[in-house]
Amino acid sequence: MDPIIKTEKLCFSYDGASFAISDISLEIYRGEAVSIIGPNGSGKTTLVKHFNGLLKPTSGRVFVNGMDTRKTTTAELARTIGYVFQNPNHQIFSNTVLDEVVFGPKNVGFKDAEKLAIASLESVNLGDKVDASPFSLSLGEKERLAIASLLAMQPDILILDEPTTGQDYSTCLAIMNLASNLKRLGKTMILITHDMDVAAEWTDRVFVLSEGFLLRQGKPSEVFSDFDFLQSIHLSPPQMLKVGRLLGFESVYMSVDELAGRLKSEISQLYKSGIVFS
Amino acid sequence: MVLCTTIMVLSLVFNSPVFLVGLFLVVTSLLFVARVHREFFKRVKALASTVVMAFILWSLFYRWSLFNPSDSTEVILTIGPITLYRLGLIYAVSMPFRVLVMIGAPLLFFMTTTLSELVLAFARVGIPYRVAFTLGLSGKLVPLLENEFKTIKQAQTARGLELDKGGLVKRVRNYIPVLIPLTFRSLELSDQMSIAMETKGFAMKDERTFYKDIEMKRIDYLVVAFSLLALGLGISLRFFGVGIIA
Repeated sequence: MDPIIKTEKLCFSYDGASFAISDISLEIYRGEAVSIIGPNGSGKTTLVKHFNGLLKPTSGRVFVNGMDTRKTTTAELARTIGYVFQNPNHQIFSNTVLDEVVFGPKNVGFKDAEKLAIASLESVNLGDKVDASPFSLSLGEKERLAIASLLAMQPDILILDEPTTGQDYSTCLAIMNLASNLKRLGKTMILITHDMDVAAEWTDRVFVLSEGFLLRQGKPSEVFSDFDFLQSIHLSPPQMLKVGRLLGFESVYMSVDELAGRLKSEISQLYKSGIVFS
Repeated sequence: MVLCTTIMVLSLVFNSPVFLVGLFLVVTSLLFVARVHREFFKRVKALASTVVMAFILWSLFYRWSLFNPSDSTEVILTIGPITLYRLGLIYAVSMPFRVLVMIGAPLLFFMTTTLSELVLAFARVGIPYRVAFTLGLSGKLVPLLENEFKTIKQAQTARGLELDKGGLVKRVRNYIPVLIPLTFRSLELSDQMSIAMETKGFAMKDERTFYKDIEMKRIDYLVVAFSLLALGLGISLRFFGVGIIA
């Protein structure tokens, strides 16, 4: 299968002196959910800004859906790839929520922009806010509005830049549920996050960046089991992994459900073997 | 600062190439002493074409210049339709140097003085701290807002906005989705800033003390005195017709 995003020896420098990212070669496939993790300033945002052409490589190449990003404008790439920025306040400008969401699909030439906008607002549970002023929304709602405004452009790939940072648990859960729905629809999802638990539970593959270099890539269960490596770049492993290890389990548990399942079966076995808990 | 202003005024007072070249040498040597000459040369390089252009324009079109202060028509050279006037040539030499001095002098000031030092200096000479702080703040706000502007532009480009498309009116309209979030962001930022300032006791009634302090040393008084002297001398010299051509 051809990768939907491919970078070859990608390097980028903002000032011409030091490299923000160096020698990154990676492949992301259609329908995957991947997370990009790393300490602050490790080049995560710089990397994904190459995927939709906001930044062009200093050297090396980036292909999106087979298109070389150096030869394609960001507006053209916007049909394929949607990038939700960190702060929704950086994009909100319309009088109503609906207008805000219509903006994107209209720009890339969809005739039924309004229909698409309403559908995507419903998918983020903002269907009843269509006529509200976007500035009056809560932060969580603004975040979902930002996601809807890019969803409405029907991109194959969606980049979410720290969507769960600063959100309460229920908003966080709502955003991640939405993201996994997209995955079910066959969309590719790229998640930048500081939350190892989110990366472990919701994504298929993890890319670890540090100081501009791609240090590791692989399944969350592989990458996150290497505690020494995570420690060396000042990342803390997902909590469920830590608990599982403390309990002495061999297999790796990535989510609360998985770990709880194992604990349940352990306990019922103990019951069967006649141990009574006091 | 007094020195820098003096140099700039002097560069406007005189128009003789000898004086302007002299001023240029003073500024450059000061830049070297302050070790910021690299910055200066970088800007000069960027402006090189403008400087050369000024030289060519002044030598060729001196006759039609609006600022032509005299009717001297002494000709040095005529090649076909092109006539080189003696005065034109002199102007052509002095003007680029005037431009260079005008760039170098403020650069000397801003590269050697941080904004907080400037604010402190304002406060020291008796300007109310609120006013001084606001002046300093505006200098810090510009790069901050520039960054915001860039981010917003990128966020909207990712939504398919094409800023450079269409005719003039369309292009101006294209910027609406960038300018509205920018306005709200700057309000948000200033709101946050005012909270930060209040938590740090900005509006306290008591007399203000400073973590870092500056004091006028003897050398500072000397520089100020020397600058004022040079300024006075320069202006009076001009009245007596020294340093002026024609």
